[in-house]
Amino acid sequence: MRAAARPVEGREVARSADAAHEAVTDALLVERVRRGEVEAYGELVRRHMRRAFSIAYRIVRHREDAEDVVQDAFVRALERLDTLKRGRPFHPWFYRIVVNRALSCWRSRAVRAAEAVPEEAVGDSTPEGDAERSELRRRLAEALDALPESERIVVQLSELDGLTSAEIAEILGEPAGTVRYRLHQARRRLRAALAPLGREEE
Amino acid sequence: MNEDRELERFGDEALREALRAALPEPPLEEVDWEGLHGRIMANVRPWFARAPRRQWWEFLAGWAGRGVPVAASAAAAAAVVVGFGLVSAVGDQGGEVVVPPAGAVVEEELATALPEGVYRLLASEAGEDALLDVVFYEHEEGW
Repeated sequence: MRAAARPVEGREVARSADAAHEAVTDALLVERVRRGEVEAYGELVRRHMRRAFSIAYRIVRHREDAEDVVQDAFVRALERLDTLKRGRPFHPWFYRIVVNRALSCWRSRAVRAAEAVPEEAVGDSTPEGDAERSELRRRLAEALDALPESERIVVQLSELDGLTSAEIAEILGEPAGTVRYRLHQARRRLRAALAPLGREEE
Repeated sequence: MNEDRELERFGDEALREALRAALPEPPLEEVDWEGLHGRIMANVRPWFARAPRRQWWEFLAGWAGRGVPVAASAAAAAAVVVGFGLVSAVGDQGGEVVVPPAGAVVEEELATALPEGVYRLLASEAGEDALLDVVFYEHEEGW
């Protein structure tokens, strides 16, 4: 039992060490940016643009909009760099800007249809299996859209982007306990939406 | 309870998998990353052009308030010590530079710095007890 847990712990330790290293080197880059070094900002952009795009895309669900959000967020971050306190990590502060810009974009363009969910088959592709998966996807997508915005963001950041409660709390500027509660509530609602599907399967 | 059991049909991991399957993955391979990086940098360059470029010595300015007096004091103290040593150690006798033995300089310094009683005892190689008596006695007197 213990042996099975060790590799996970090892990965977590390695992940937190990587995160700590990234935070320190980010802080050095931020200091260079404060001194006016455009190259240092270029490096920060390279480091964070992919994850920023993923986070933005999950919210706006449109590639070009997500790219615009990332671009705006980096410009906004630079303009507001003075508000990042020395000693605070760059990435949660920056992803908070990304989330806010993405939500703003999502709200202003809510009328526009989101990109269609790809319907490609996964695994066995019997007509019955495809239909079930399609139904599952449809219900989950609807249930996710029906969640309160605060819960939807937490679910996306946690379940899809793989961020921890502490990271989400930092990004959203809320206590970690609130984030965990919202995640719990959201999971409950999503399960409730899927439960009828489970009964039908029986 | 029944409802909870019903809901637990989809555990956290199953729910995560279902969500990932239900929602499209970000199309990372479709993004022109170099192009996006270039657009971002083109947008931020005007900010760097407007912002005054601070030089490394400007960052030292914050430390100057405390650092300069400390450095100046240290430099002055070093100059006094080195200068005093040189003057004491190097004498000019008829054009010939004579360097007195190091011990003589140290004795001279001790004679000046220490109270007379303490120095006399040190010079006479008195025992520890006698030395401690003088030190404590002198200390009480204000040494």
